[in-house]
Amino acid sequence: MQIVAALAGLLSVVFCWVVSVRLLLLARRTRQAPELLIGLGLLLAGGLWSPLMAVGRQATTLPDALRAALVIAGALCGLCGMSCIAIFNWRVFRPSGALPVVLVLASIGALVGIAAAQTLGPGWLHFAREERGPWTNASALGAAIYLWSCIEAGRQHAMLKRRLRIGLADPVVTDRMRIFTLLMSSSFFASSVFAVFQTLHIPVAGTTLGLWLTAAVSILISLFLCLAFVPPAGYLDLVRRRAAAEA
Amino acid sequence: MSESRAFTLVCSELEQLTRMTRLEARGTVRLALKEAGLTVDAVRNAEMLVVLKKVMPQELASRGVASGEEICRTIAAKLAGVADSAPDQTPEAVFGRLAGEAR
Repeated sequence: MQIVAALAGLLSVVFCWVVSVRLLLLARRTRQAPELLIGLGLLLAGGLWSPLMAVGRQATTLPDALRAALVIAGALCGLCGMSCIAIFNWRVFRPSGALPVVLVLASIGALVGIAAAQTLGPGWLHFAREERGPWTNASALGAAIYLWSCIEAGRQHAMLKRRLRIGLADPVVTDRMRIFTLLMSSSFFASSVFAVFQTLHIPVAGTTLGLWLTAAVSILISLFLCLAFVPPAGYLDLVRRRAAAEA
Repeated sequence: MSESRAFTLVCSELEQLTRMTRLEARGTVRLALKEAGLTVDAVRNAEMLVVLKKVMPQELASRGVASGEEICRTIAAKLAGVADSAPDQTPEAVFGRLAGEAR
């Protein structure tokens, strides 16, 4: 089970790297903020945060200073990555109005606040050894940001389905919005479960339950990343054929 | 919330061409847009033309407005000469790019 979970986790991290690099290259070409934000968000929050934290927490043979440095780097990646996803939600789904700006500022402020409290309080070595301290709330904050993405993308998908019925939407883009909603739902589910366990101080890393969860969510996230951002031609044909049949 | 020029024009034309009040006309267009999965602030002219052709006639008929199709054709003709004011950076446009070629 450990090998399956490790391979699934590795697969989702590699997918995150591949997809985010593609998005960053796309951003360099288009010079548009949304692809830059989601590319950075996936790379930092999906592709670097968990691996750096996992090594810093579980590689007990490493020197203390290196373990602390790894969890600090992981926390920085988490902070910047989740901030990028929150800004993406604002700029893409809710560009007007004051409430989204307040939500973004509150999210970033809370992440900076718990990172500062961890630094000034128990410190990062304590986090690496015990997984305790204010930074344990980062999973809950991440879950809230993923939930926001999930709600906005779900709403957009419902609207695109209506547009599709009268020929005003592209079936591939409509399906991509659906897959993105599923991707954010999976991320929300995983973050929520880990946040609950961390809040209750129940150790989950390395346990059978933790390994099953990691494997299942990692496989789902890899699948959704692939279908949303690097969809195979056969899948796109299927989406178009299904839309034509329903028209 | 700001509203697109297409929405403003269609509402005011509908008010003039039917016996609807301003509030009724705006409510009817809002419902037609909702049915079509569009919003008041982001609807583009090309999208509004499709709504006028495929959704609005039924909305007008359900409100007892006679010759709804003809009214919609008249409004569509006026809309064709109006410049677009809706934003380009819609979620649909962004997600249309996200699986693009990364060269």
